[in-house]
Amino acid sequence: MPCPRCDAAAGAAAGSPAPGPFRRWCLVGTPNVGKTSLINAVAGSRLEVGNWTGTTVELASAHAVVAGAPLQLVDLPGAYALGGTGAEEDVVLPALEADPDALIVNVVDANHLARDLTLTLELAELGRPMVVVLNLIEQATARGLTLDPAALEAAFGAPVVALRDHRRHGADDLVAAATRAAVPTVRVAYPDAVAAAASDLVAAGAASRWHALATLTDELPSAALAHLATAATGGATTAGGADHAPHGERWAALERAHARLATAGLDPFLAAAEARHRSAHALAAATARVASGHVDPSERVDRWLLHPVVGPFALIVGLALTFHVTFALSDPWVGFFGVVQEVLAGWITALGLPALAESFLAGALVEGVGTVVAFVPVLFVLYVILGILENAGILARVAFLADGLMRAIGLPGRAVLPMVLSIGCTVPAVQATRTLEEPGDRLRVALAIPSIPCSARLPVFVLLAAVFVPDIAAFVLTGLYVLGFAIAIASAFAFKHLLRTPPGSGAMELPSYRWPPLRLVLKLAWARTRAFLQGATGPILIAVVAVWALLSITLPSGVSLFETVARAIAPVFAPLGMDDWRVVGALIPAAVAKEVVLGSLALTLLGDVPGVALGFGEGLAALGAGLSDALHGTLTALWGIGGGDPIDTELGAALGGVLSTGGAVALMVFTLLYMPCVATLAALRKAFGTRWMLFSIGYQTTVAYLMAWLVFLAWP
Amino acid sequence: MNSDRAAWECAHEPTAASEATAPCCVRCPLSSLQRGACARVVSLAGAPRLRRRLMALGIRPSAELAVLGRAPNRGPLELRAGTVHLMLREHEARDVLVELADAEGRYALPTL
Repeated sequence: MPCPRCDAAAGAAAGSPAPGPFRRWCLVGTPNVGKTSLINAVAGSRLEVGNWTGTTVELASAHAVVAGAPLQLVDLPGAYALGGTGAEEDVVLPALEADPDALIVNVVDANHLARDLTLTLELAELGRPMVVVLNLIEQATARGLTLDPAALEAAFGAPVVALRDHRRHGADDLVAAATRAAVPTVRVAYPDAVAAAASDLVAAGAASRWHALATLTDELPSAALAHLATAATGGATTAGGADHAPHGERWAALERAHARLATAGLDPFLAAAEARHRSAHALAAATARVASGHVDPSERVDRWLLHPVVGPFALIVGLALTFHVTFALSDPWVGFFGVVQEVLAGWITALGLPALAESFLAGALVEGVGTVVAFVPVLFVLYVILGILENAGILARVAFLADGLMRAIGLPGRAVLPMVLSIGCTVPAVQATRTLEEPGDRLRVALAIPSIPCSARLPVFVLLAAVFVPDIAAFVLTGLYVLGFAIAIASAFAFKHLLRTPPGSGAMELPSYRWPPLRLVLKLAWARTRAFLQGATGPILIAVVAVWALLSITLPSGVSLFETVARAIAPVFAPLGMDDWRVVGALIPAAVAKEVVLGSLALTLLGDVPGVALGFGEGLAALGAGLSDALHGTLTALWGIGGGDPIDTELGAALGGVLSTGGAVALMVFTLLYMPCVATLAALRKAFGTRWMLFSIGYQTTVAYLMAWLVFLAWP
Repeated sequence: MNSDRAAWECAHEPTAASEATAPCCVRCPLSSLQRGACARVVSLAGAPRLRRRLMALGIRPSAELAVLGRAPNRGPLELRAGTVHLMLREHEARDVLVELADAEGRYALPTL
């Protein structure tokens, strides 16, 4: 996990000079302004993504060597104001405070100068060296804006760079400007009373003019206020400092300031915001001349795309396409990795090792690594698609169109994407919750979606329905999907009240449509896939090896460990109509991936299928055929996915002997709802921590047991 | 139902009657505006966090807004505030008091 402070220490240890005095740049700007593209242009190297410590907010950073010295670039979350207006933005100020020696690189959208320069003026009040980058110039020019960066630089008092494009020379301009970085000299024209009160607070030791004003306008997070109060009393009272520490120099200054403002009859918040806005407007007017009468072409597109009747259709088509492309493009490669796995297992069998070693290598190690690798294509494709949707400005429109419907079930509009994706696979769906704005919403959506049946559960349902309820199979399958969605929605509703998540704001910009920076999107997608693998490989391998051990170890009594355990827990499932140990046992290895229920039943009911040894040449031929299939599949993916596997009749007949019809339906319901597979758990753990992962296991299993029991009781 | 009625009156009366004295139009919530309406922000209520966000997105006292559309299923409003194109949920729009322009695009209240 990258931590600015640790990296600072590491950089200092290296002891080489940085460009100018700065070893680190913190990029600050409004959302969608192109900060990550800029980092990519300057660093041109591997981007790393992680979470900010203790949060679910993503942090992207990159290390570069600029002018022969190491430089770290940190991408702070998009923010409209330093005071924080959303969960992501709350990270920005603490991150800047934690890193007092970093250069602030403020990226400004040339299309929305007045708005973005308000943030610039706030940053200027921190009294730190900074550089302003005017970005998205091409768009602004196309809209008829004429820009004068030199005028802005003169008025602002710190370097201003107009970045025409993100090619190398634009980055060079920025690097050159960074060596001239300066503390801005611009001053916002606040009303006299506000200015005097702020100066008072600065004199009394406020960290900066911004902090002084934030204290006056109650913009500081409460933790910072408590800290201020504690500092005011010389640290004498540490507990509950904000409540009863009205003494000390700063506190007195604050009281004087408030009295001064009350006399002037000013609402400090409105007065300060108005003054900043006016100053930003003046700066913008000096910088850009607007050709009048120009309408953003995006708005013309939106007249159709956001139309009350056309919009919902566009949304449904768009979501279906997103779903199809995510899984259709990755499916052939999942198949190819399956072939690789088989070939490796075949080669291992051909080595003629002792039985246990062969079984461990082929059944545990290759299987485990294969399970992990199978997620690479689907996650990579998902991240590419999400990156395109986000950068092109389409995700904001999805949120707009779906918001009304999704809010009816208590979720924000953006939650529609993870919910739709979870029909394919829960793992990418959990990853897609990061597009939600509020961390609380991310958590409750991620906890709710494992109830939605993923495609791995479908073959289990199809086989059981075909064997036990052949006449009403379609009805039962539909019922399972309805049940899964209903429980997911009910869960999201319940968690909203349990977690007391603050309602996220629906006030969001609809950014202009633009062509997404594809190279950057690919790079970020790869970095995110890598980050997932780093977190998930361990847990998945452990789970696969544990299942292998369970299945391979034979107790001294001659009975396998698996059978002993399965027989021990079987009575627990008797009320659900599943009392055969082989049926209950099948649920254990299925913790790795739910489709394993079938394989495991086949193993215990029909007996083991011995591994087939493969010669080196045969293996290579199989690999070649697999690769050609995968390529062919990717190319034809846009025309549709092939049909499912044929029903295994032998297994069906064997199942009829160990399950009643009611028990089979209960088994389907239990398989639908019980604990998420280990890859989903790894994704949950990475995003929300071990506590929530364990909660999900307990919650899903309890719900599954209760629902399966009810269904079994109600089954005629 | 009540608020829908108010919305109808606020959105249409000033254009129908040319007098700038229509009493219902001095102040009405942004949420009551119809598609195509133009209005000026009078005041912002609501939690400080929301207020900050609205101000940052250009919804500030005396700023002019255009309602470009409304999403289906009582979804959010599509607005233009200055150069910013944005969405705002209906219940959040209730916290924004606006004044509608009359037929000539003038406002009854003086500019701040």
